[in-house]
Amino acid sequence: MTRDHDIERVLNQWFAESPTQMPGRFLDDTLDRIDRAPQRRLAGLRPRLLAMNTNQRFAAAAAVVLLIAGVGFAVVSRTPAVGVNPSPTPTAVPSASPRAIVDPALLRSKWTSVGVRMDPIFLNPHQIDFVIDSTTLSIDQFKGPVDSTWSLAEPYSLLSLRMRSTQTSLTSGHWDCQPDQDGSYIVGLSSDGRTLTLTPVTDACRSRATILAGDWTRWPCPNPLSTCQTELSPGRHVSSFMNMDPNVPATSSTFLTGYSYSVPVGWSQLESQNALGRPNDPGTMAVTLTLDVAPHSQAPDCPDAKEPGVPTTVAAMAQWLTRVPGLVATTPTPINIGGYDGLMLDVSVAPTWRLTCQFTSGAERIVFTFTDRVPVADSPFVRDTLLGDAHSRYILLDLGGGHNLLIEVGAPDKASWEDLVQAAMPIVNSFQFTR
Amino acid sequence: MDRDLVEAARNRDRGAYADLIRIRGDRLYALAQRIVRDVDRAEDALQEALVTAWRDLPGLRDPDRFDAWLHRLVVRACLVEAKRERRRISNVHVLPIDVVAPVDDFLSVADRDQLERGFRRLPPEQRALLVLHHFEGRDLAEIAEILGIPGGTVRSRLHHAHRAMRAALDADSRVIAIGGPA
Repeated sequence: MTRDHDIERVLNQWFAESPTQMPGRFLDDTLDRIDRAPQRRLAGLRPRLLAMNTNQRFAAAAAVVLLIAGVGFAVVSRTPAVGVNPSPTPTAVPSASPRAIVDPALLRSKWTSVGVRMDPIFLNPHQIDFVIDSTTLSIDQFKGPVDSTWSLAEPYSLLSLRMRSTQTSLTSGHWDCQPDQDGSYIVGLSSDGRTLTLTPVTDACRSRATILAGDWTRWPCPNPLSTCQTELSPGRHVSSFMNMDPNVPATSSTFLTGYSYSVPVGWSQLESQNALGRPNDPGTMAVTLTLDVAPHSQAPDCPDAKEPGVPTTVAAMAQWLTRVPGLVATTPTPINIGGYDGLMLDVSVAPTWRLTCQFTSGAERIVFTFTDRVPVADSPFVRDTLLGDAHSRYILLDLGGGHNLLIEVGAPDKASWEDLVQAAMPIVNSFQFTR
Repeated sequence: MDRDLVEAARNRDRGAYADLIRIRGDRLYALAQRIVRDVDRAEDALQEALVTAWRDLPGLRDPDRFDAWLHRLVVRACLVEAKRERRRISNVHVLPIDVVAPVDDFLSVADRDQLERGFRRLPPEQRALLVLHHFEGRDLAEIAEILGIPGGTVRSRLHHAHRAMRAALDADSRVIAIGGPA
């Protein structure tokens, strides 16, 4: 190779030579990961919307408490769909070392399939999760959860299920099942409680039985919706700012490049985010850091724009927040974090506030707070919002040179936020920054 | 139709999202592979971007911006992955050349080896820029949009990347010339 080569022609050919098709399994693996990905809080609008949807889902689940005390196992009117003995009196527990009687409380968890299960939607096997709460066994599916109410019969540890999902959702998800269809399974739980084994006795819903039969591993974090990131060891840690956002000139000398902090047990660094999470907290709402924010437009048509006339100084933005329609804000108070002066205030959405935007999935109690300081014409996201009952503590630090840092301690409701603030502020106060 | 899919996916219809990424999968996979130059890590980067896109879709204001936005996510994920390469001992899998060589194949095995080594020495941002320009055939304005940098910056960086690639290849040529068989 010499300088005389036409480098452009060389590169054109060289780049054309590599494979251009993704492996056959890749799409399935990705969809499976999406299925298993918890709906965590990231930054800004979308996590709060996700959190709301999750809350709604569980509120709906709680609202339909259908105890099935009298669910019979003999389903003589139904054809056994899984090809197993329909006898209601199992004679063996399937797990290698199961308990003879399973404490129902021990079943309440998220469970991940050991190996793969046949997916009725895609008709191919991949890893599947389900969650058992107090009333519902919810199989995480690509089109949304497929729910069954459950009860556990003593003394045989026989799990009874009744399909609770609507026919609409079952049809759209290609499940060959009907609402109210019953199934029963022998339950085995390993002595350490980590492995659940389900053996179908009978189930009119073939897809459900196909998925549930076999071994399941307990989700390692108590909160099934958490990111379940690897916990940080207690002590001091160093992180780099994820400055992949092209809006943020990462190479600028005026910008921070990293931060360090001290955490007690139970905290985690969220993957690819400038955020810390507590795995056991609902929604993993915790501490996020955002470089260079600006006041978001309050125009009623929800434009992707900065609020005109408001400087991006810390003082101006903090005062502006106290005047934002629909936002309840405390008086800004001075604070110094890691040697940088700033202002701190607590914010929430006024109970009577109503604002609906086309892209907020029907959410009404929403307030846009921050967007990017550096204007980018096609920036697709707002940087931060408050939604519904969410509460946040905003700490705006002046980095000098016209730059700022937003530290947010946020949670989906006031009670969990108050707990979080108590736990998070020592961490926030331990932040040190590097340029 | 694509806009409908994007809007449906934005409203958490995962089936619609599956359709969206199924349509774009090969193209994005090829892009990722060429930037990170490693099969496994290209898959990691692309999957990371696709999962991130699914999580962030509800905040996407304009469905017509979906492709540009997704492209940007993939490039960013590749940049992160490529930067990780420098911080860890990597079990490098050189891309298999499993396609039929073009008719006007003027690259020797040695050329390809030099290209591979030279390309791996480039900063990840310059790798991405070269791939977007030479593989995807994007003009400077499109690259500027994807990378989020001004058009003038794209032009100067592309020039620098070409020069760096030439220099890397020439350096390899000198090494081969000096260390090669007498």
